[in-house]
Amino acid sequence: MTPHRADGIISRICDVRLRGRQSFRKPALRAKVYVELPAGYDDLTPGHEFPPVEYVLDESSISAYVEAVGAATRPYVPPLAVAARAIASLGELMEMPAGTIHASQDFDFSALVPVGARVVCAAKVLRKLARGPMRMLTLEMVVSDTDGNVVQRGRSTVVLPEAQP
Amino acid sequence: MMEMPVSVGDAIPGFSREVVQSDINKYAEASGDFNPIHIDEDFAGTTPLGGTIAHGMLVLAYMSEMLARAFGDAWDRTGSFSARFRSPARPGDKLDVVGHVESVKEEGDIVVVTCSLSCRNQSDEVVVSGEARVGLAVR
Repeated sequence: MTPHRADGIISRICDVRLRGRQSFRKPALRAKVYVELPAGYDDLTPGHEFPPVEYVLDESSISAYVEAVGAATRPYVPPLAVAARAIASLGELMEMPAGTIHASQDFDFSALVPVGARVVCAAKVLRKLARGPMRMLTLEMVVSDTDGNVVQRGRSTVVLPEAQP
Repeated sequence: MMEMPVSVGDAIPGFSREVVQSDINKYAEASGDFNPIHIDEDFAGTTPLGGTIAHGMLVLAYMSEMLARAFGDAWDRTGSFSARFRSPARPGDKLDVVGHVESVKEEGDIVVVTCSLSCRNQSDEVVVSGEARVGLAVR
């Protein structure tokens, strides 16, 4: 990781609000999260839970999403826009090598999310697989509203580029 | 609104889209996923993929749009989706998303419609395959 990249991640991590346990809001623990992140593949173990990340699904970012995918305009956030932001939030907590690609994806939608809503993404590592040079990682994400009601669940499996000898 | 496909064998009205690099770049901006395999042609050219590919989530968004057109907000409220990425979608590819109703089951006060889905490119290669379920209120 280059220093420049690290600086960028640090500034964004400082901007995110961590939820789930009251103590995460204390400056000392926020600092602890700051020094541990982003985690790499080798740092992760099955069962590892990332600190929840809270973010706002604001109108401008949803409009950009709708334009990018050619989605129909809805009076709420398209569910895959919620998912895309959830996956992006993971990018602030872990760093996968360039060239990592998606192998499979599952979703369960359980509620509509209004534009402008604040949601929380909690993620954990379900599975790691390393066979020869191939490495895979399966993550589970649960996105909830600020009252704790689940709005969607997802499961992503990614394949990392082959490790260089 | 079109009639919903709610009988076994019904086809879901298809959805077609050409993959263009500018849409991939827009999706990177909108989603925050700047993996260079999607947006950096120089980097992607050095990988086994040989060039940039669309985000898998962008292709899933096309599939989700097809389901939203077919089932309305029931899809967005109650849908579930299981997808496997079989081959990359590259700039210039013409993607066709199709689906069929595989089963219809009443579960209490809803009808659960299960559909098989596939997204193929112009060479008829499967880019994404999967299954979706949506719950519809019984009238």
